[in-house]
Amino acid sequence: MHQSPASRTQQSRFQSSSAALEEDFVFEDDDPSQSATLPPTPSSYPSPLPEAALHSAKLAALHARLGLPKKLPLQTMARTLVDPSADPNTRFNNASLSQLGGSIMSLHVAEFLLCKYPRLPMAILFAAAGAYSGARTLTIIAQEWGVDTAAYPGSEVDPGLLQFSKIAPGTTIEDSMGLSLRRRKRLAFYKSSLEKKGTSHNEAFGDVLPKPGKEVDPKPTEDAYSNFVKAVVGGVYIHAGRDAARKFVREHILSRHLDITQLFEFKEPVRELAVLCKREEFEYPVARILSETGRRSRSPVFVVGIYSGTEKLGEGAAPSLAEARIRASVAALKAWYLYSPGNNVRVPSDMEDTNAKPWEPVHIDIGEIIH
Amino acid sequence: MGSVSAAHAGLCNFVHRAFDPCSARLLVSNTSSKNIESTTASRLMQCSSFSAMEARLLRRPVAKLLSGRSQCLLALNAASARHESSYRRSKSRLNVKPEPSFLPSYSKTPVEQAHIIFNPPSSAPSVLHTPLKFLPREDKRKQLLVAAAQKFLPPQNQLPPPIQPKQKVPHHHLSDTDIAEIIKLKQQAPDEWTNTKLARKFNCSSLFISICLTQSGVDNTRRKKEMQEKLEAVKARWGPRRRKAREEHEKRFQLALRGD
Amino acid sequence: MTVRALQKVTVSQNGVGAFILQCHKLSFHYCDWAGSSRGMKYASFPLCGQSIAKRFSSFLRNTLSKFAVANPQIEMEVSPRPRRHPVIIGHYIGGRQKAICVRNLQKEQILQKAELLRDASGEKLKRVTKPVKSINESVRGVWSPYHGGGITV
Repeated sequence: MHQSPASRTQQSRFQSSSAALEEDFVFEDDDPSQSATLPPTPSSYPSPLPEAALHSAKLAALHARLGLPKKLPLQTMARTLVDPSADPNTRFNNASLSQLGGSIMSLHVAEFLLCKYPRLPMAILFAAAGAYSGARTLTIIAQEWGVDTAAYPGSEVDPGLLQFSKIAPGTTIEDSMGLSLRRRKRLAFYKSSLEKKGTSHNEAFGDVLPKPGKEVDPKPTEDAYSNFVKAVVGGVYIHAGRDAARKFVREHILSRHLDITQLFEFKEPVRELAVLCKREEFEYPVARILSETGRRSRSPVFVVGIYSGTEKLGEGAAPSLAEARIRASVAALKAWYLYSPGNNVRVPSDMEDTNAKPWEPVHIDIGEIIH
Repeated sequence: MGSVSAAHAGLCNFVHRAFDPCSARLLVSNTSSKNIESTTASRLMQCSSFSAMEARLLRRPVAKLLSGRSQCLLALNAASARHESSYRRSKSRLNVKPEPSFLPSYSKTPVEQAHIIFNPPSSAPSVLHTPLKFLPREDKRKQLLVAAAQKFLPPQNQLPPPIQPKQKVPHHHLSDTDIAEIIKLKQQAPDEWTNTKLARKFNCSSLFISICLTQSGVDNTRRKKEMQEKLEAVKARWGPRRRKAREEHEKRFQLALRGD
Repeated sequence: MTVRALQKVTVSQNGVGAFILQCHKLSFHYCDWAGSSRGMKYASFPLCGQSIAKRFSSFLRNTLSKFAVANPQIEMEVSPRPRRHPVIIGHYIGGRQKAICVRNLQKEQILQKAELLRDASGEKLKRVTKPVKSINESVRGVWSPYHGGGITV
């Protein structure tokens, strides 16, 4: 049987050896044999060979820095760093891993948000999920992990660098998506209608957009970085299991700080609060002056509270009565929407633990206020 | 002490219309001990920048009269004296004695302190503290808080005064025939029967009229355009100061809608 | 639906949840010829025999491998820098660098410098006057002159 050199290298590209965390130090003056053990690097492949992962100090350091389980081999770690735009072969890029990891991540983010803030309106829920696991955040996370991008993908590149083909400078994003004028117009229409509804127009968070271009086209740095982070979660899930993936998401994504009170922008808070009180059969909300100073002066301050019956729902201070009333209504509406059963509320995936306590149903809200 | 309380009274010239215990701050601080009052006053001096500014405005002519040198100003205004530049000195000035009820139980007689200290913060309430009314029925806090709330909630006759004391126009007094009449009048002479005029005739709000007329089928684009042009003409006559003030007003309301 | 959402991103709190060591790479530079690199790497003197030179145990030969095993999060790089003093450069995640010259230092002293670079955050040195710095909201809120007064129990 005759084997061509190309098929041999193809075979060697497929083989995978066990995970090994090694640090090799090459003393160039007295131990030349070590450098000879490095495999020859053919430049015909679009991404580094799997064996190269075992010789990359950058990759091993990244593995250790993230505190990843030992079960996750360096070869898989190297594969998470190869974007479909660098290597279209699905057996060597991170497309499948990022698909899996993205689902796991959005599951944990969604159950965390829904159990902690059961009354969040749809738009705010999507925005909060986007703040935790959107492309912008995942890019920041990957950069805070110390992952750099390769200037250009190829088999000779260090496997510890993120590899994707970058969009040529000067290209507008719509052009790079390969959309026709008609399609772009339709896209703009979708966006405006979603904005009217109050939904963000991100693909992963709440709505459907036409699929932009092919997966192997050059893509923005943000997309490549976010695919990498998702792929790491997917890799942890495949090699180390469900619990490890959940722990990883909690430690790296849900532990980050988000001030959820800053996400709201109301249009007609006074009316919305009145509708809420009618729906929940509370007394009609009345704005009352708690205190004021300098009514006839240049800089007055009014403190206004919104009362339903004898109970105060919210309060606000402003230089005019109308503005103070709006502020008080906004505070009351935020207090309604940001109701939380507690900080350490249990989520459904906690039931996967061995000897978990029986499940107590969480609060489920009937929905946001519509008027 | 005299100067401190004068500053205190000058800063907080509130008109306390309310009898709500939460807002009756002046009364409490006036009747409380000397210690608390001086604490509050010194915090006021530190924190509220506008108060310091006012005080300086008052002092400036006096200081000029006395010395003719602006350096003396700093000597009077002890809180912002730059020449006393040591970090330790300003730190020690801020290091005020704590309220006696805040001291731990072992520092005083333990019998006297064997109770829970309840001292609500002097800050605007956080939106993360859900009002009792908004807690769902199955929440454990609801049952715990209801008993306390009955004790502390003010009775109906002691609530603070509402913003609008009386409604200008009656509500829910128009019948279907009246609404049909409104639509008929508008369709007959849209230019003559404006919303304001209709509202005056039927003794209701112009908002109600506009709600009635949304589906009446009267084409008011021409009139809308005219009114818009009128408004633009008025806006064109604004000077830079008024324009800036209006823009800032708009921005403030946008921020209010976010609750920032 | 009158509520609109504003787009935000979450902020990292390193150490709450996962901790990422901020130093991601240490590069050690030495010179083969000059005497100031003796502690970093033994110098090969033309007049001395190899046996005398071997007597100087050096950082790169003895300590670095143990240091690297103890700190797998850091990528170690060793490279010669002829006719210059030996130096350790720490590369940090924000993109900053810190360099420490280790001329004429013994290997124990060099290890101390390497540990210093490992533990640094990469930020410029600054005086810390407040015991706690936090992005979390204060429990009692921001003091306001319009509130407070307490409830008579």
